[in-house]
Amino acid sequence: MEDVQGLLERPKLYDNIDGSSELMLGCMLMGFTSFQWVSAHARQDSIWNKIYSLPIFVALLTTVLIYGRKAMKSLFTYRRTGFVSYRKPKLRLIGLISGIAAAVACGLTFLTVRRHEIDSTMLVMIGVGLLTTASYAYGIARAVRWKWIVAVLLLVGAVVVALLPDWLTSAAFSGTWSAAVFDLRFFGCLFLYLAFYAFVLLLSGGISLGLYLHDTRHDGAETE
Amino acid sequence: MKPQIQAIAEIDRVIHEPGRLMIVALLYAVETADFLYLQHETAMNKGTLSSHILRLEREGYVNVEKTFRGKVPQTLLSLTRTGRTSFEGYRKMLKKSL
Repeated sequence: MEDVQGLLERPKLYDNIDGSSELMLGCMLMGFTSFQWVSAHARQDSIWNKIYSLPIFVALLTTVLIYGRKAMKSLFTYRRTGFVSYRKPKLRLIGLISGIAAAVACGLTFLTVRRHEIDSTMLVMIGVGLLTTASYAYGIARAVRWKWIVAVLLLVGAVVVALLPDWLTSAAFSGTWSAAVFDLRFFGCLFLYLAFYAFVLLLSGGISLGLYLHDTRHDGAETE
Repeated sequence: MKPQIQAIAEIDRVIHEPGRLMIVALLYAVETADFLYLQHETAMNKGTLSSHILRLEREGYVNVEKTFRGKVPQTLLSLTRTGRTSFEGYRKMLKKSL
């Protein structure tokens, strides 16, 4: 029965067989961190800091990435290992309960941090690290064994970023207008971790794509 | 006859064959998939895979649609409602008998 269950899971694992999921997410995060950096270094009244800039940027980036991924799948993946159209996921009760539980946990953590004056940046970074590692492990690493190294790397990265000294985490934004508005340590830590996460995803996705192209061949003829 | 023994006797023989079980299980999780995907996942040759698909199509479990992706012919496969119901019944029956 476990073998049958494994077969039922196969199509989900096939989604990132060419590393495209990681490459797409990596590009998205890299774009987002770049936007964050540019808007912090631009003048506060520049176009980068208008209220509409971020939604337009995200919409454009998402469109480019979605169509880019479709083109990649069409050019490489479907010709080598076939096409799969996925079933629309149903909203499961367990997902809803998990979401509510996560929101309650976040709220309680926030209240505890405020009451006991704990270093909230450290706590948030470890929380973000755990969340990204868990989602990466569930969504991607369980399909390919070597990607567990990437999952561990993501968690270690979050802890390392949280432990970095203030002068290093705030270096990217010191002297900018955002230094006066935001908590520079928190802002810097989040920026560094997102940049690190994006870099790791791009690297891992690139390796997957390379291995995929190496291990599969393009028949070029009809599929039956 | 014990109910467990009875359950074994009632197992769907069309799905129970390992090759066809692989195809049905793979198609159960998706909307549609093409022939190349099934070939890659099951590691069967074209002839064997075609014959299994033909059998499943005759039983009304699988829907086969011939189309084109650009200039390349493509065979898209999906489970019919009967195929889905039969596979769900097969799983239940197997769990019961084990």
